[in-house]
Amino acid sequence: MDSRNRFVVVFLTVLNAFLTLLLCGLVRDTRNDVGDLKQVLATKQDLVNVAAPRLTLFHEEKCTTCHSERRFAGDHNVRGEIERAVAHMGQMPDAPFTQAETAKIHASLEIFRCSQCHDLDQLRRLAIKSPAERMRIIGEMIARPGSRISPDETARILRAFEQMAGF
Amino acid sequence: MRRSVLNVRLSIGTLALAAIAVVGIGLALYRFFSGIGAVSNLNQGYPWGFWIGADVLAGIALAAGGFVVAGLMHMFGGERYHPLVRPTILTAFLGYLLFVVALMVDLGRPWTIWHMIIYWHHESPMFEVGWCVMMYTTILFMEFLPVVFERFRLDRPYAIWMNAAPWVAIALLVLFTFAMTQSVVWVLAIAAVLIAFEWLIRLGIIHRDPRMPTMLLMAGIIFSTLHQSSLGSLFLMVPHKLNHIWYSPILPISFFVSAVAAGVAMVIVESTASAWYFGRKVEEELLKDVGHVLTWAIFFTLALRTTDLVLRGVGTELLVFNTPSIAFWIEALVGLIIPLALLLTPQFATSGRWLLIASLMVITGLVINRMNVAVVGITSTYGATYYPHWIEVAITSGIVAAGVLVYLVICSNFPVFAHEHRRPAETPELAAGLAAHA
Repeated sequence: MDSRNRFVVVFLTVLNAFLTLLLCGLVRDTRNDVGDLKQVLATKQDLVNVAAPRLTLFHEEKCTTCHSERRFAGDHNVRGEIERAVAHMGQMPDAPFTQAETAKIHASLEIFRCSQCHDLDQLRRLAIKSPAERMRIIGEMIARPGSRISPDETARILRAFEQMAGF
Repeated sequence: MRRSVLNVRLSIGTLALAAIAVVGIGLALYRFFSGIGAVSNLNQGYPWGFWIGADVLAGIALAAGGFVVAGLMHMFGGERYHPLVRPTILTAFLGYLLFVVALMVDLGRPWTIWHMIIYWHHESPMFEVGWCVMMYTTILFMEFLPVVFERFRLDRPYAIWMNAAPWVAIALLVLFTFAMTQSVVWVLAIAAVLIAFEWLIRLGIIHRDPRMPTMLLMAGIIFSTLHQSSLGSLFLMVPHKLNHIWYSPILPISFFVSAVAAGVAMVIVESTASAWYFGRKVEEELLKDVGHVLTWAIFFTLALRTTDLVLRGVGTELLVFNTPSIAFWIEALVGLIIPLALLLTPQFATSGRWLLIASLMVITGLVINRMNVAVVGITSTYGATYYPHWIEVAITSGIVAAGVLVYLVICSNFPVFAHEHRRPAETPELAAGLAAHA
């Protein structure tokens, strides 16, 4: 074998040995990763818990100390009235809201409308749906008799979920 | 008739080196007038850049030939390596002096460099590195002195030096121990061991080298070994900034082992290049032996790096296509895998030309490794970016060119190479001095 061929053989042998050792390391790491997996597969609830760890209604912290929740759930709970009420409360000397808090109260009240029929854990499950599926589900709920929600408010509800639950 | 200055031939190469050196030194002076910001792209995110990678980390590692050859010859009995000792010591000595010059350019406030002598910060690896460099440069200077004594036929100072050098080495080691430990117990213990050792040498119970005091060589090996690894320790403090490919708990060991390989490679390159330049015969048989040492050094370095990478589980990061992985593969292929394959191919391993090529690749690989650790592998927490300024490169090139020129001047005027050596006991006065030492 001439020197050049011999060099190529030796070079490939050394390189191959290096790569083989790296591969052994990767196999070992993968085995360790597989060994660390839980015996029970993740449930939908696990995924929900990861995607949306919690969903709280911000207005319950800010508003229900003084006002009964029934006031937010009554027939007057339409868009313009809520906005006027929040703006009015924001001007009160003992209830000053920052701009960010005002936005969060609006978002919280949007979700509060959904929470009249669904508990918060049920609402959190929207986190593992695609945006299109969420829109479809909200559309179906709006279409139900007695929802008292206008179809053009779908986008606003989706934004409220994004703001309050991060999805 | 060929023209020469200080006995150095004026060729195109030496003139080009002189031009690079003049430009580099001029720019280095400009740095002291204009400030570091005017000549470099260093910033808050990258306070260490090209200079630390090239001048400090790579420069120091490439000067490792000094302690490697000293260890091979004097500690492990490889007497046949004797012709390589003086050129290697000279290379190491100049390497360290150039490192100090380069460091003065890189330091933001170079006028405070003496602080480390007075203010002892035991928490900082830089304190240990600084002291080791200071001590080792002194040791290299002392190891080089016989060349000066022989050149000027200073037999009496030579004899005094032979007698005094071991005590100077002991004093430096004891002082270093005190600086590092601040413990009187340790100082007394180290002093007792070293004095006993020197006494046994003088009694003839331990082998005495007639050319170089063993204590001086031991001190050199100790100081250089300590700070070669400590340069790696410096980067243990940036686990959040240094890429996982390079960050490793064994970084100090890795730095030391790779420095040994690069030091051996430097011996081959420097011996071959100087033989060509001075028109001497290349000591091929000797360099082939050094080539065997280099093969083992590369093999050990590669084995250590591979084991480290595998055990740390960094394999996946090497198989993605990004800047750090590309930089690593260039470093590994150029500096370790291809030279090892060359040296394991008998036809190449026995050829002086291929031995030189393999050695140059090892040196290039080491420089790439140190640049990867100091620059490429660093991610700034400030989101800053860094590319070396051309003046940074020019200053480093100038310092290296100046070093090569000084090497040529010294080799042309002093008895550095083996055939120029006088025997130690050539004159009665020196023989008497050496007898007193014995």
